[in-house]
Amino acid sequence: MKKLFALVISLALVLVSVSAFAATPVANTDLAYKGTLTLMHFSTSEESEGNGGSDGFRTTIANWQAAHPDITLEQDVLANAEYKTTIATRAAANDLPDVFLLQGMNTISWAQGGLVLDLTDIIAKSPYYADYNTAYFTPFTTEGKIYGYPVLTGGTCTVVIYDKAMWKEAGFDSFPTTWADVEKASEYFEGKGIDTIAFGNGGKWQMNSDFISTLGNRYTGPEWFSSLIAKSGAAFTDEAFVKALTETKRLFTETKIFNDDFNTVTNEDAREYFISGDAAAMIGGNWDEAYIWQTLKDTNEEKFNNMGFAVLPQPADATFAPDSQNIGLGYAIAINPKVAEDADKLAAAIDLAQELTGPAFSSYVAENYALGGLTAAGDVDFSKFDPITVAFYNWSYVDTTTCEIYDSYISSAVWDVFNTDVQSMLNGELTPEQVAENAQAAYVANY
Amino acid sequence: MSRKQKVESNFKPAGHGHKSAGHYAGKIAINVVLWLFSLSCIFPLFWMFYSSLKLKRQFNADVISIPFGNATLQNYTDILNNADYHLGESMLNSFRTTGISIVLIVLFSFIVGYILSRIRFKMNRPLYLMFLMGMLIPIHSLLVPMYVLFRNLGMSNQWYTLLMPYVAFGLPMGIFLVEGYVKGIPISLEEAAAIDGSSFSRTLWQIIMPLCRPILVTVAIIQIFSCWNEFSFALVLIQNVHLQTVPLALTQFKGQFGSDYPLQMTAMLITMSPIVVLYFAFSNQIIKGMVAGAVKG
Repeated sequence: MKKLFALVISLALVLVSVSAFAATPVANTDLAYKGTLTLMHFSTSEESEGNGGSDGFRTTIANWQAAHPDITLEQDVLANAEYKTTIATRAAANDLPDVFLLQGMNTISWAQGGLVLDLTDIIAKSPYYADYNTAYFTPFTTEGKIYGYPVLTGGTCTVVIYDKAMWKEAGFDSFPTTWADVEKASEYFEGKGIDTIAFGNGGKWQMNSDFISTLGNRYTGPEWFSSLIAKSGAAFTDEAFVKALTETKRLFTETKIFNDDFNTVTNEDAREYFISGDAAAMIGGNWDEAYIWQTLKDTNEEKFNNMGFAVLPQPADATFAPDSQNIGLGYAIAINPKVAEDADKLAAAIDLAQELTGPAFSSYVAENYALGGLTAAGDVDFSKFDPITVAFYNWSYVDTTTCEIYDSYISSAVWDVFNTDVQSMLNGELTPEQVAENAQAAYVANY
Repeated sequence: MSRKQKVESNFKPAGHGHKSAGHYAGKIAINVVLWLFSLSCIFPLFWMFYSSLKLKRQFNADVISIPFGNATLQNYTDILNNADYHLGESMLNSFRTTGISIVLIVLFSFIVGYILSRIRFKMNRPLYLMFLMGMLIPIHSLLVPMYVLFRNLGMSNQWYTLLMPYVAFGLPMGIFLVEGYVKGIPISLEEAAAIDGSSFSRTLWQIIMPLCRPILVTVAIIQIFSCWNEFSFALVLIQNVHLQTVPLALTQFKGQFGSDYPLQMTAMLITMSPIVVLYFAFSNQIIKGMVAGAVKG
């Protein structure tokens, strides 16, 4: 399916060179429901500034509302952190809004609690089903049932952004594919007084989302994490995963690749190191790429044109997918089962969910931001984008293989323990084995 | 006697001269410490102000530098021109909620505190302890039950929704302070008033209440901060953006993977400006109240 998706995207890229189309409008479905529909999400006005997914989401909501003036869409919009607190409280009180955003890691428990509607058959009947990237449904699927329409844009969480000119000077025409070569390059960059790669783990989540989630896949392969999600035998203490932790520790504490303060600064600081030229590369997520892209475009055209993208280099003893990067959609549009008591209202909720994830949304984000979502964008005019944007689009959706984002699954209680322990490990306070044992204990206790 | 006085007079200038140098050195040292302490309090405000004159990129590149030459009011115009931010509305909501809550907290704290302090009845101490336990309950453990309660009563998401939890959670501290303060007022005052024919209510409102003014001001100050800054109940009980209070409205400036800190600081400066004006207008009274609270509380 991934190959098929890549093929579709490639064809789209070819087609757009000769044609240009306007964004697909919201389908004007005739809906019988004439009442209020409550929607809760976190695409605030601020969030949508420069964030294509949020902007597309808000735009599609406004268009859907305009197409259905008889339905009053009551929106409760909070910033992401506050959204998580409030939606958890409302879930505990069994008082969720009609339509809301379900986080992947809540799927199993909320499905078991009857808080989200089983959408398996409804999604299968969606008019856009043929264009869905069905891999995105995985975090929202449990026991063969799907509980949400994956929403917003699929952005990578682990990308190496590097300055091609700086690496060329160091003797590399492209970014090294092995850590051994990066270590060699670090000797050159150290001599220049700059960091080879900037990283920021001050928030603790970055090492998980932006590094181990991909590096772990290189050691364990995707089946291990699938087993961990399904609770079918895999454990954090498995040798392959401990090897990934050991390699992480070695790279960050025994080599001179990363900035010394990587465990205290955040990704926001790390990207400034790259922008200012104090680092020859940085590792971050698509949100960091968006910031660097905008900043360099405005301030440093030469460096902007030298922006390159690469996957994490492959460790010497890793055996899986050397071109993998973790990408996915962390949230899905879910529907409160109580809505199903009114067939007309349910039809309206389904229509809203389908439009917010359908061609109207995907064509908007593709044409305005070169981003992809659940539905293939179709014919998009990429010619208006700069080469860097197109390069990142290709890197994200076409040229690389994908793996899962760890913290889209399982439980925040497990990841809180894991993230804190990894930070301690990188401070020299814990061994990789201890981190794995503690994570496994939290996994057994909370999942 | 005169010899003794002479010795003393000889001693004093020497001693005075020696003490004078030490005295001034001490004074300077104390002043330096106080200046440093004051600067540490004032600098964050100053930093917020000049950071609000920077753009996100400038701030991220150097969080501490002063934007000489390239200061901009862009953040202010962005906030004031974007209706989505509804900061004015949130300030009005905060003023209304805080104002009404403070009046009710001060009033109920005074009445309940006085009764628990002066009137002996069987359930006096258990009742007092029950109120005090309100200070021991973590708010987060009450979020879900409070949400369910308010929803079932149809009282969530209204302009008056936050008044009840704010008053309920403000009362324990208020009652605790007033009860202790009233105990320090001689009961003979009330006895004299009774002999002169003053009714209970007249004694309460016209004699005791003015005497309690310092502690009531203290209660009001503490609770103004508490209500104005309260976040958890406002987050859970209010869904309508038009009813959001200031702390909730300020969360809009946080993104999922990054924040626009200069914009956030600009919003904070705008929303705190009325409170700062109020503080300077009533600073004498506030300081007196805080001192009274420090001594009696």
